[in-house]
Amino acid sequence: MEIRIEQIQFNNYRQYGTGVLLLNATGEYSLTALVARNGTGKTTLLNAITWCLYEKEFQLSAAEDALPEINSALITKEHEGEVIDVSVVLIVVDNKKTVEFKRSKPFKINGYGDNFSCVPGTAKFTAAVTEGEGLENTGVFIDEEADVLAKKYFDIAIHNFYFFDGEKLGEFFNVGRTKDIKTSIFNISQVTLLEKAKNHAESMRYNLSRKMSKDSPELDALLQERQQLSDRIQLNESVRDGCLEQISKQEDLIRKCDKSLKEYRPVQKLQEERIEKETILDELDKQEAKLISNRSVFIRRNIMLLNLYPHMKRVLEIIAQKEDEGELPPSIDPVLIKRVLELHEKTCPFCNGEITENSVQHLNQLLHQFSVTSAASNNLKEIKSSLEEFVEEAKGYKVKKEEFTDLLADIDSKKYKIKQRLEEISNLLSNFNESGADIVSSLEAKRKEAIESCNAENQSLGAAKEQISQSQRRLNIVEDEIRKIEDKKKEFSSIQAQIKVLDMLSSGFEKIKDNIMNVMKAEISSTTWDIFKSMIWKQNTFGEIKIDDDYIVSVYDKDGRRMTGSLGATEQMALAYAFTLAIHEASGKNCPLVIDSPLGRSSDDNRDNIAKALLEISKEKQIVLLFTPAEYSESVQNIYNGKANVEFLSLTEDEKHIKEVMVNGQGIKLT
Amino acid sequence: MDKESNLRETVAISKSNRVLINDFQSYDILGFSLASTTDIFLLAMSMGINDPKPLNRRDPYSRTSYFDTRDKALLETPSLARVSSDDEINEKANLEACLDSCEQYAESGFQKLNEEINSANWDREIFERRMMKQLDLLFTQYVENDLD
Repeated sequence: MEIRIEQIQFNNYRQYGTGVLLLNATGEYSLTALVARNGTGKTTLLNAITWCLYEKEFQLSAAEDALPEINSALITKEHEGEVIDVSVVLIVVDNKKTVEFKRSKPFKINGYGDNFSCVPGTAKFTAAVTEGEGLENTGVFIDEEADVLAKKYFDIAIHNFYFFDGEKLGEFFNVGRTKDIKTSIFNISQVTLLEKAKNHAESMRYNLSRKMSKDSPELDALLQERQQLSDRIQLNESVRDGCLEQISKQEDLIRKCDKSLKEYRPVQKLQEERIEKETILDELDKQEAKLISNRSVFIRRNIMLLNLYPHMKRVLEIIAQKEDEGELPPSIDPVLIKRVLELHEKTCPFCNGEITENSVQHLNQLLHQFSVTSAASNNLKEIKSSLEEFVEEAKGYKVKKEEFTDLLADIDSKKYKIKQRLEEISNLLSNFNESGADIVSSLEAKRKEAIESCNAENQSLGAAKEQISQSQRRLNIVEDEIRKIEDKKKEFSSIQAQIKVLDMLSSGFEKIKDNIMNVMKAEISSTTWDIFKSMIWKQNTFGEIKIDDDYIVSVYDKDGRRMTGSLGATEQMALAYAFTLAIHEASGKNCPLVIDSPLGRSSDDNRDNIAKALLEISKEKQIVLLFTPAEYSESVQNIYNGKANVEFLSLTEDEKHIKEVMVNGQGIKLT
Repeated sequence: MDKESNLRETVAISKSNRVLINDFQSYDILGFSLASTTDIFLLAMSMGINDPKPLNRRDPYSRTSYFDTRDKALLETPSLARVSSDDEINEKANLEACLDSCEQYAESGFQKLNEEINSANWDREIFERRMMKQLDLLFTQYVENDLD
């Protein structure tokens, strides 16, 4: 069942003044297209929604310099001294429930111009929930309680998956958005409660341990160290995330510079050569990493073989000696002879003859001769060939080691040559001085700066990761020490039992949280892929979409190569849409989508595909699209005519209000 | 009686070595991230072969059924190499009889691994380079004379 925004009521709010926007579409498609020139109120509509829900207008270009929410026509001499209420009401229908979110903020007009002020302490946010019909079924929630309800429908942490600017979708995955994506999946997975429960269990455990530590200064010191280590890990994790975001930004900048250089004909060949060389360098890096990894396994294996070598040789000597003595295998098992002698058997089990005194003597001689048992003999025979192979393998150590050294040196020399050529290309581009081509050197300078910055961030990233690992290692040791001391304190058995339960709870919560997050990640990847396929015209290029452990969303081609960086603007947009819709689906709430400039960066076939896909999705989900006239092209009109509710917005002569427009009971009605 | 049928189910390590193994795995030192428990146990055993140490808080580590015939040859090697009589051959040419010693060699090996990696400041490259030097020495000491 879809959740719909049925109405947006404005009271003295910006250019919408006082009126109502009705969105109660009834046809097969729940798609409303509002077409308006820039500056007419498209983005303001998006801001009105987020202001109502979160008291934030995310789409303002410079929030600190922006005019206040009050309609500017009201800031006049004749209103001087008046208190004017500004409000936005969002009426949301969820099945049989209607939720009316209202944010109001009174302004006092002190005079003409900028002389107005918000009346302190009077801003209010309410949510009135009506189940069925009639006021007696209405419950009203105020401020924090209303915030909780707003979060339930449109969580602010993922607001940009409900209300967003399509023109910025191209940058959706490029500009260090991994943190947002992780947060979104985290929120949608609804694991916050688990996280809180885990933190609570850990804090209870910490307090109990402190209680136990009163009599043990050693334990107290360890507990303090554990806390410090946990803090350090947290701090470095945030440094690590910051570095990853910066690296992503710089890589995006490098890609943009590369693209611009490639498009500039005089340096096109150089740029193409650079890209080719960089690809080879990447490939060599991969080969080198693989070789180093194989060498690690080789070292491990040879530590084992060479340490065991003299022992294996000794065992082989023993086996050879026993073979020479004809004891492997023994023709008669000495265990059997021993049994005959010990039990004083009368009949020989080997020849069935009577056992005389002479026979006993003979059996004793045999026992001396065949001292290795059949079981031992079989065992030695079994291990012999394996040991011979290991000895031979150990003898090959030096040759194999040299092979690794040669291969690595070869890669190193190839890399050196490529790096030299890349340096030359960079110098050529930096000093490119054809008339009017300053842009080349400037782009190259930017690119160099981005690479340097990327390298610096990578170093910081490495240091942060190292710090995390070191702290984690020490933390493991400290926790082990704490456990040992706690184990010894038998008198605290009841507290110990509680600590144990809390430990189990804490790690259980963590495991459940991770599992849910992973399942959700897989589900979102698969849905993103399905929607992405329906939006793009290329059907034989893309193979898969994955969200990796660092929450980076990547597109792979049919051969499994990552190609997110090679996506065209429209493909990036389709990917962002697909991901957004997948997030909606995974959230389990069929909430509406309000998009400003939904086709902003797309063109040609893909533009029509995205327009069609959005129309198709509107069969199940309410979609409000805010177009510029240019964006609402003829081909888009052909797709939407007769199916979507389309309204054209414009301003009054004084440019301070939106004109009333009503078509088929929909549109803006001014009061 | 087939002594093999009395084979214990698992070989154990000291509980504290789990942390070390996890760290080796997360740093992928010596290819630990893809190494099996049997490979790791055999490596530690070979490193501690001259200096067995008792285990501290036994922790079952690898199922004995995971060791294949070739692994079993390596597990029996340290004990068989030390036999001085036929009776001892009969006793030690049997996997179960060797496993207690193997666990103690491995314990010592893990301690050596810990010392080596700490002295290399957990730097994989430095650690592996040092290991290669040790391997060169072992090769010269034990193997070089055997080459044709």
